[in-house]
Amino acid sequence: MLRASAEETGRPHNLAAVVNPMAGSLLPAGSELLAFTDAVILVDHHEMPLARQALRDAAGTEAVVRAAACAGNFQMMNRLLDAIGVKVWAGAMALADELGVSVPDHLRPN
Amino acid sequence: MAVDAITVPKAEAAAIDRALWSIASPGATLTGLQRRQLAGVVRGCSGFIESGSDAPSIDPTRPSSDVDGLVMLTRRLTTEAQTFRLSDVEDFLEAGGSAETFVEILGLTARIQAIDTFCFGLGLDLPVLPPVIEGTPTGETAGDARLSGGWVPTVGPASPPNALSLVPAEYRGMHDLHGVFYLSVDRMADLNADRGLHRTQMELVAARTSLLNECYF
Repeated sequence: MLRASAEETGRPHNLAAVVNPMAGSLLPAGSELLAFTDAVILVDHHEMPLARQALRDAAGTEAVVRAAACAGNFQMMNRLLDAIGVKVWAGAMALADELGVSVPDHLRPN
Repeated sequence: MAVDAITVPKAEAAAIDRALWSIASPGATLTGLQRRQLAGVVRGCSGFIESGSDAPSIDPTRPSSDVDGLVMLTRRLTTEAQTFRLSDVEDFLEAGGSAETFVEILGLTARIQAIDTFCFGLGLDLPVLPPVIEGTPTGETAGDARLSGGWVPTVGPASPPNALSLVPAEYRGMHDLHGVFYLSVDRMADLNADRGLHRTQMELVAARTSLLNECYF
């Protein structure tokens, strides 16, 4: 959806940053968003306030709220899909290959 | 320089309130007490609380029992959902659990994790769980759910929108939170959505979250 949204709206983007944040996403506040996401998902009590403030400084309070909400939402969705064995859709396999991500056998499309 | 605390917007606060009250209420197969206790198990092992826990202790050497089975399932869904395989669902069913209970626990675990992640991200205390709502389990399940590409029955092919469709209350709860935290189903096609973050930025967070959780969808 990141690629689809970026291409639809003509925004520069670099998907590689999802796997390697150092690669740079080319999105506004991209590095701050990635650092925030890492801190919240990895439950880093030390980094969390620092990453929150950095994102707030870069993109504002509403951005922090939405980032936290999106991270929370996908914490929910990730668990649902993993626990009931929803297979990866075929189009995502090419993307996984592009990013060097290995999809487990049991989740590969038939 | 003092940093202003971040306030939870009204829509998000209301959605969280609805979710927490539903978690403390009777579900399809579990009582409000059981559901609230399992919510405590989620909090006890998610790491958002740095010290202290209201989770019941688990002795791994004890023979499994109904209660331990539910607690163990909840802990695994919280901390290692990516390790689940079909055999885990089959084992749960063989031990006397039902697909409905599995989906109910999955739903409440996932929603608590969403809410607590949100609050942790904003630097807020985790919201207090409401008192238990008494009553018997509702028995509300989807009679037209079938195994369709997933490990539990769903209404239609197993997919993100209908992952919890076997238990309508969990399905409704997930969609309620999904729509407020991220996007409602009817806005999913809006690739130019802007909610404090542009859609591209929201997807960056979503993709990184999923990678860190080893979820490949």
